Amino acid sequence: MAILDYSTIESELAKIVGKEHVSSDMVDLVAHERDDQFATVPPHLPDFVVRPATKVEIQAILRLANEHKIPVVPYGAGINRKGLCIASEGGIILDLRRMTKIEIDEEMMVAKVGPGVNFAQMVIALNKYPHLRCLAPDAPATASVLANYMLRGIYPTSTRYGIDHLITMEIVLPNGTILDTGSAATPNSPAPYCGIVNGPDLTKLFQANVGTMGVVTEGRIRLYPMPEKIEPLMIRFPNFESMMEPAKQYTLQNLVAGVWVMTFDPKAMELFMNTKGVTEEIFASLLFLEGTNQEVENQKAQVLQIAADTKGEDMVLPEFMKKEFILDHRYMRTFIRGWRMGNLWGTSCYGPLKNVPKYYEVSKKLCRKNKFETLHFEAMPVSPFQGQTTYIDPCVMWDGGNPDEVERIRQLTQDIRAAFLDIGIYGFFRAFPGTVNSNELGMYGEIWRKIKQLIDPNNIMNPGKPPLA
Amino acid sequence: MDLTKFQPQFNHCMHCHLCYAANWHKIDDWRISCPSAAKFGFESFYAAGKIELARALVEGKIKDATPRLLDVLYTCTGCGACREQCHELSGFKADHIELFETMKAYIVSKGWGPLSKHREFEESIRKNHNPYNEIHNNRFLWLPKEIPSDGSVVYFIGCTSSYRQQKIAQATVNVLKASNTPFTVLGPEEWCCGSPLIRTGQVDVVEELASHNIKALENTGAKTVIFSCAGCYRTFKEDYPKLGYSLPFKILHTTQYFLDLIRKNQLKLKSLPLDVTYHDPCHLGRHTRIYKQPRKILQALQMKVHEMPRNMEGAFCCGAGSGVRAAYPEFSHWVCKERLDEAKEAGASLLASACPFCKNNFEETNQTFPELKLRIVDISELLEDAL
Repeated sequence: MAILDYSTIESELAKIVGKEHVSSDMVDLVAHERDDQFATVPPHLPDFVVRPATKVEIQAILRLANEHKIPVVPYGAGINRKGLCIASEGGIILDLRRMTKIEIDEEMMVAKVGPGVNFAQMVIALNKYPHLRCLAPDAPATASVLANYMLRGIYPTSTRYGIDHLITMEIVLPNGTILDTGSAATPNSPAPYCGIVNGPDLTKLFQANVGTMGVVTEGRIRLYPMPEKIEPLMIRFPNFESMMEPAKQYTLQNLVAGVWVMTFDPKAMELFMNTKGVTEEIFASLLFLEGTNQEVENQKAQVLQIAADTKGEDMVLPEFMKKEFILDHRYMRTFIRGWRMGNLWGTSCYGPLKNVPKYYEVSKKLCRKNKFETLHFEAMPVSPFQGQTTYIDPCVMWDGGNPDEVERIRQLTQDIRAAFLDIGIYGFFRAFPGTVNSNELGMYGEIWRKIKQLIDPNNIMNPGKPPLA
Repeated sequence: MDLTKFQPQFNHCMHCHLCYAANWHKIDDWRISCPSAAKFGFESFYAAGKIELARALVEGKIKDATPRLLDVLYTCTGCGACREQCHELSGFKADHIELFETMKAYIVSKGWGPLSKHREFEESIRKNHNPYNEIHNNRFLWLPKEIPSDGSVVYFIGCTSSYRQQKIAQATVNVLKASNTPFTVLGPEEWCCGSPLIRTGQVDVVEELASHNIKALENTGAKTVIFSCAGCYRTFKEDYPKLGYSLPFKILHTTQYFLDLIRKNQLKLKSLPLDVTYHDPCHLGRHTRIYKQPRKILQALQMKVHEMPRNMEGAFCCGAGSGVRAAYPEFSHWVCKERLDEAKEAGASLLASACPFCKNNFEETNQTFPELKLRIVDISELLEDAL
């Protein structure tokens, strides 16, 4: 195998995408050196930034990279909370933002999207179909739809609609061949819109791998009916425990599209919710009610009745705040306030709802031990609720410009990870480096590594990330 | 040119890319707000990328100037849209405009910049007190003879209106005369305000310009100095105080001053019932927060104002500022065409603004797209039409 020098690699890449879409200039490389989770994922420069426009170009890039063992890191929008788009072993950042195809199939309630489409673009494209929506995450709407769905996000509607909104995908494998998962493989298939056919759902094989198995060039995503009404409701409770039974009942009785069980340290409340004069920890559930006008009215009466049983009271959101919540629910922007101290840390996982008070208590204890007074703890029951599946995320607002805080956040990361594993969790939210270690996962980890090695024998796809890191 | 003062903030950019797009909650649309990121696409052109570049400069990772370094910095028009979208919500508290101007000054201090076109206007300012390589004594050739030589109001015209958009200067003078305002001008004592140099990192001469202009204005006994150029206004209001100068007179943009005249009935105006859209110049809008006054003038003229989706604090740049028009004319016109399309889409046949530099770029670009059928005007010209 020839070993190419950098300038030859660059000129080969330029032949594929055009020289205006390739750079090895340090000015372009430093832009991708790190993200805001630099404290826990060490910065590392890539060697090239490449901006393809088509899957044919991506195929050619991956063949070149595979032949010469050059790492490739797919970059949808770069927003993933923990270093997934950092080129930990150098190589190519594959910036996919030129791939902005959106095709909406109204009848089938499916959209085909390219990796460069973000949620704001998707939601706005759906304005032409006001009876349809895509489910947007609790992440800035500048995040890539396909990357977010591929990585399994968390959504304000997850209590009712779960987290799986990706039906099938087209992926360029590390050797440059294309795999279309699901019904596209069936001869004479009317559409690639079904993954549960013929045999295993290969979408699931690739989903939640962090750019380590190929480059997804098209996703077919679920669209949902737009409810007549969406109403946010915030209910304040006297303590953490009193939020648990209502959250369970809301979920079991399908009264809400989403219920966030939350706490805020006073400073966190001030920064997140733009409120002043908060002196004590707040325990509150944020609910999203959806349905017809009548359904929402009925749901609201029921949820407040259930809340009252454990002394929960409607906080009566002012109109401007309701409007903010509804807009963010649709395509998030305002809750970037969570970063107002400079940085926002989190270590999210899944566990059973009944354990959530333990996760909260240990999170608070460890935050205090590491001298953080800006904890915002949140948990959301997720459909399907068998196993009481609940998303858990202790978030800390912190200042990455303070070297002492950088050290403390590193310690907190280790402490909370160990403590959650000690209590027992279902597992971590996403295969973040430093969080998920496949060597700790027994046969599951072994099989995962083998699959990765089978698909990507030269380990060119995002090396340095789980399962091989 | 000290980049290290921004260092604590470098770790606060989470690359959310809010800096790239207009507030989608406000406009329910996906429209870009960063011209250079939209055109060139690489992360380095985004505000987030430039913040990492600033970090790399401080850390010594960038050891030489490459054309790319200059392109990334000098295709930035300094419009401040990134700051606007970012500041309210994020934890990044440095001023983007100040940071990017400091980066330019830093690379100039290292001898890596500026671009040759920018050097040309620096040389011209030194020699001729204007960036256009025009003869200094021709600055006031357009001025009618019967201008008073003293007055408590001084009209600081600025280089662009003096040499390229004289209609704006003439219109302003005619409106002032119609209002019976006793005013004067500096004549040959008016030098370039220094804005083109500040925006391109060539800060050496700026103190001399500031000192001269302030002294010249002081010598007139001016109580109020008015500006029809958004750039000059912004420089006096924001940049001169940063250099340590306090201004011994009030400063106003002409839109503020004229609105006041209208309210005091000092201007008798007929109505101009036309469809107009208003472009917020970056230096006047985002940089000095003057949004309402121009619009109130248009309303006073009984004009039907059609707002563009990207308006007020979300306005899309005309593409001319910070030396972009001089050094990257094609890119500048691309940006400008985006804005002209938006103006047309708004349903107006008239595009009004309050900055001669914006008007200049709009007119030049508009000429190559006659199908747009847009007439480009300054607010002062509309007022003159209405006299």
